[in-house]
Amino acid sequence: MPSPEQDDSFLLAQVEKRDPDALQALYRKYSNRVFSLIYRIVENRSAAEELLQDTFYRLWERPHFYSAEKGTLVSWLLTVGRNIALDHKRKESRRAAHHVITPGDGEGFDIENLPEIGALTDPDLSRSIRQAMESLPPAQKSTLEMAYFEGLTHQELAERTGESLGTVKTRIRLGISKLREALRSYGTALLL
Amino acid sequence: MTSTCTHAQDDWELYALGGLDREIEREMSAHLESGCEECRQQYFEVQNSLNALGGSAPLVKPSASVERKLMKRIHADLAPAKSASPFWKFAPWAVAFACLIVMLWLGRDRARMQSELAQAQQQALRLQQNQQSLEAAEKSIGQSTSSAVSQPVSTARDNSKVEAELRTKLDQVQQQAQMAEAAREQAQQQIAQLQAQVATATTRSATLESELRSAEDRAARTDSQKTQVLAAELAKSQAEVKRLSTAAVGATTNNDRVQRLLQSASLQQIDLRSVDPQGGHATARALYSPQGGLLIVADALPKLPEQKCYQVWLIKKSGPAITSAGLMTLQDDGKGMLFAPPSPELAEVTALAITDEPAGGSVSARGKKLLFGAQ
Repeated sequence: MPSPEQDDSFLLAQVEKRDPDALQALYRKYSNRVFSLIYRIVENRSAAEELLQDTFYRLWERPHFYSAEKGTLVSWLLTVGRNIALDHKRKESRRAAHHVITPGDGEGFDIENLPEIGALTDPDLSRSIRQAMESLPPAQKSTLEMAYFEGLTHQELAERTGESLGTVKTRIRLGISKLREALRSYGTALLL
Repeated sequence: MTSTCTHAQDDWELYALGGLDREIEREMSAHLESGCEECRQQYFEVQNSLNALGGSAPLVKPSASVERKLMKRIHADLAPAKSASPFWKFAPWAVAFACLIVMLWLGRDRARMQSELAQAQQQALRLQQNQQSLEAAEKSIGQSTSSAVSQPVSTARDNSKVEAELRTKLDQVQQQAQMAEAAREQAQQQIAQLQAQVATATTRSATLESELRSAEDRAARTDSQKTQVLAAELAKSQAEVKRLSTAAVGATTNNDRVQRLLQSASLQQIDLRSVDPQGGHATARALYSPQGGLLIVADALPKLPEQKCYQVWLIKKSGPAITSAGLMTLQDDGKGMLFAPPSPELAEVTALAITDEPAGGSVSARGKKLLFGAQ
């Protein structure tokens, strides 16, 4: 079995030859990062695990969809994972759209199934990435987060924030630009 | 450096985020695919920055079962569908092998008979040749005898001796000819018998070949039927899995909603008590926030007649003053619960009430106020 440290291009070439060990090596290398992003978007563990599986299965089914010209492999995986998660979130939102408070439309469920509430923990954030995010002005940070993690279009962002389209676009552009500079200054290799 | 491309000022950031109109997105995709190096470089830089944004998500590890399920799915892709029963998998091969053995045995048997037939034919030929030579010898002896008879008799004693010798020889030759004839007839009978056996064996071989083909057809049909049965069972199992997954998703979604409520900002609590004899000793507790929704849990609620239900009402600071939060589902043990999704109006709530209403609920509160609580 190829070792996880082997080059991505080698592993990908093996995946194209239908080597399951190569796909497994890539999964072990990148699944935590991809899962973290998917989970952040859908906020549901079981759904996020299904979508993680779908992301890597897509790589197995169509390895030729990725090419080095499109960036690094992990960058492609994060993009695919994000797209799959946002699609799922949109479908769930459409399904839940009828949940309004109206007479006769209540939800009751078994009292015994109340979950135990534990404190949310925030482990293992890459310090430099987090610091780069914190260095952004709040408006740019929140606009970027809404656009990235919720998949809102610039029109929806404008409606949500009450700002104009131009302001939204400017915030996003500036936010990404500052994020790039901040990451460079922290010396974080943009290996993602 | 001055840009040479007209698309350089395009919204590559929004494009990478997927936040543009489809038509503009298509146009920009086409431009990237055209090979513009400047724009591709810009796009990749944006993409890298966004991936760093993705990296700011709290690191969470998936369960180990995800990897197992993924690899199972992949291995299922690589292997063809197998029959559940090893017997049915190997049955056609076993039948084919058995038929091969039978055919080899028949073939060997036929070869042996054909060999015997060839030997018998060779023997018959030799006997025939013997007979011919004997007949030739008889003929020459006959000729010698007549020439001997036509010669002048030297002495009477020599002639009778020669005649006796010739007669003995003739007798011998005749006996040999008879024996050869008998042997030839026997050989011919043997040939006929062997030929009959060969014919029988050929017929039998044809019958067995036909049976082999029938057996192969039957095995193929049985295999197909078995596969159909298994496919039907698989479809049934998959439908059941889907149903259970949907139920599990529902349960997990409810849990997630409750978690979000309990962790939401400006969480409020109101305790409700019975304010009417019909409410008995029932109590309820409500937790709510505009971002988290409303969760109300009740205990010791009296059983209502079939045509009635418990309805929860929000009493707010601003109009409309009283709105419905929904109907509460009552369990046999008197426990009830309602979860209502997030709503800005929850920020206005000052009190909650539970009334008994006609089944299906009411647009405005008409029933008795059974439980009530205020901030």
